[in-house]
Amino acid sequence: MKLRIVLAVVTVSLIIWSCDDPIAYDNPSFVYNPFSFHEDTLNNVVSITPGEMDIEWGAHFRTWVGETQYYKSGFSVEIGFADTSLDILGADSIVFELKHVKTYSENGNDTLPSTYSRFSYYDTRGQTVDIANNVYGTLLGSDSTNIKGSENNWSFNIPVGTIGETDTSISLSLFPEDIGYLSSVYGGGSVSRPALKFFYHEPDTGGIDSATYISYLADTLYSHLIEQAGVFDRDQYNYLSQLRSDSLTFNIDVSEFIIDADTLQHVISSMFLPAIDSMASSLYKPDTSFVFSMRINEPETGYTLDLELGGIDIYNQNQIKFLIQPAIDEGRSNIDLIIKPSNPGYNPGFIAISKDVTQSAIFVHTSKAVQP
Amino acid sequence: MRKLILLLVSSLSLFAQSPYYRLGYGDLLPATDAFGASVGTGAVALEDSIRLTLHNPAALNGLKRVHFGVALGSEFRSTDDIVTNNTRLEQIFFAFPIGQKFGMSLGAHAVSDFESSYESQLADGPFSDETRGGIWDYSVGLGYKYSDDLKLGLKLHSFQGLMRRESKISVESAAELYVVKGNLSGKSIELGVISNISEKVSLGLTANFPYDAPSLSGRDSLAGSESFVDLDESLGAWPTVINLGVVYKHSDVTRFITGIGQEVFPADGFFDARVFKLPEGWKTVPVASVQVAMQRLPRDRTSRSWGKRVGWQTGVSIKNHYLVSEKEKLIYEYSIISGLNLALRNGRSLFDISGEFGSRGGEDSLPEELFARVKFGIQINDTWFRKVKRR
Repeated sequence: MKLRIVLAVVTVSLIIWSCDDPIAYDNPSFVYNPFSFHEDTLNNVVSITPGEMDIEWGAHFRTWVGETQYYKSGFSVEIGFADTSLDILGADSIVFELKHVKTYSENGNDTLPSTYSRFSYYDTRGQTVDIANNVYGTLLGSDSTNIKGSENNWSFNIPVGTIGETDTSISLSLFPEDIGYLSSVYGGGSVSRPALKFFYHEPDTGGIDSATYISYLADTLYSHLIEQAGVFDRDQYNYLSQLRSDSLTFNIDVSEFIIDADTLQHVISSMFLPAIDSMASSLYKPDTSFVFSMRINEPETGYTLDLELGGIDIYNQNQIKFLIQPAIDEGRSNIDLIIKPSNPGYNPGFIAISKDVTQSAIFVHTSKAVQP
Repeated sequence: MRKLILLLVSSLSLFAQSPYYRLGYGDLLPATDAFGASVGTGAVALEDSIRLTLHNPAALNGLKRVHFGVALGSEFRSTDDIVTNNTRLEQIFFAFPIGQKFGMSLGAHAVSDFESSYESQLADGPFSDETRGGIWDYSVGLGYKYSDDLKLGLKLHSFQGLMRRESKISVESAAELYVVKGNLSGKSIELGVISNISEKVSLGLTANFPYDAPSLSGRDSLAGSESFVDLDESLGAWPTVINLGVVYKHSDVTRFITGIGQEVFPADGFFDARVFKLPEGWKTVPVASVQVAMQRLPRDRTSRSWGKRVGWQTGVSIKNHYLVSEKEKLIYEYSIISGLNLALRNGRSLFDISGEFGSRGGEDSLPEELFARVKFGIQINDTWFRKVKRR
């Protein structure tokens, strides 16, 4: 009896399982498609307001020294060594050391025409640096240093007598002599920031000369950067540069993207298209992965996204749907997009964005799901 | 037994879809027990001391025992040579006597199944739509024996259900998903009467009025956004159902049963429908169903021979679908209905199996379907409330 029950159950189950997978009915006469799609590129930027944003320097802040057709830059540091145990007069040498990151030539040419570039070192104690008028301080000397490759150590011997026995700090600056280059060095809060080293030579236990040193890292660093006169057309363009704390606030009218109040609307993709003038911009190509990265912040929601230019008019990354969607969900008619350079100090490029608001645009691809 | 339960539960996952069920309220008011499926709406005129039919609350009168029943149904459909299956629990009930003249029932059965799937290739991309859920009817019935020839019944129905519909379209690299989900609830009241017009003829009538038509309360939302809208939609076309049954007792073991059913839909019931929106031009029509069946009762329910304890019934059924297209061509269901039942010798357990084989069609935009419904039911009864004299 038990066997017969089992056989019956198995047979019934096999019959059921032998059925086809559930089929979906396909008949265009019954289509009730709640979706519709809307694609538009609208030049609906209401205003562009230049401003300044705090730059997220990160742990490896760079500072720049060099001169190109666009910029001239140098920097000064203050280094304290108020140490009663420090024997200044007994030092065999005092060396100002810097960690070089990378050097860029004009217009982003990857190949440097020269391996060395000459820089000048100044004592700026009690003096005001005015880079625009070539006032740098007291010249201590100049040196030709290796700018090829990256991560080079630059060092400069401070002339004897520059630092006196009773001195407890010094202010040193570095400015270019050659033109056509911009070099970045670790600065600011970096552990590789400039340092002053006091060297002492003593015979070791074997009677051979041995050098020891006491190092003092820079306490403060001042960047001195000027734009070359007549190069930047600020009547027509706003500029975003990784050398400066520039920002631009785009106020954008998004009301035209809100199709109908009686819908559920989803932004499938969206691109921000600021009017970047390729002829007025200068993009460097330190590598092929990215050229210029911009950070976009929407202050209402606090959302932040990155745009990455792969070249003029080419975006490696440009997706701002997560900024537009909340605005549409909340029925806002306007949003602010604050754009600033990201990766500060990583390359000396800049982009020029037309001040003509009608030139910039926003692209939005939305789906509309009609409420049932 | 564990294997049996396991296999039955496993088979419940094999849902199938009929294009007919994508429209309106889906598979509406399916007959929900094996015996009822094999005799049709004429069951509203039946009374039996062994078998309890819940088709008419008037049949609850004068119960002598406590009854418990459960039914499982399986529908096979052949559409364009593809056979699919839908298996579900159809009914469960409990009934008991109250005094000499009253009986009461508590039960639940499926009244609508939304299970359907739809897909199409649109200009924007492939579109698909899947609906899950259904409505259960939880009822409390009361039967009263006014006289030997007249029994009255009243049943209160509470509809409770769930629904989830996902509509998806794929565009570019994105898949847009639109989800409608919610709960359904509603109420209706059913009146019933069974009258023995003569020794050989009895007549049953039920009328079920949805005084609070089911309504959907939930939310529709668009995946990928935070947008959602609360939903509140009445299933305004929920029908009033009137069933008339006539039983002619030809002999002690032979009965002829005729049933006429009528489902009346409010004309503008789908007018404001959005979730349950009908395709353009479609509308409801009154449903008329007619079943004629012959029932052979067991020759001897106490016999040792199981052959003598077997009863059977067979007949034919015709009904029209409740929706028509703008062409107004009725969709008909023709079927042969039949069933077998076997009671244990003590009369306290009854097994039913029914089969219904038929076709559905008549509308050019929908495929012809062959369907076979198999239902299996068990009723057990016992005497729970017997007074015992103690010395």
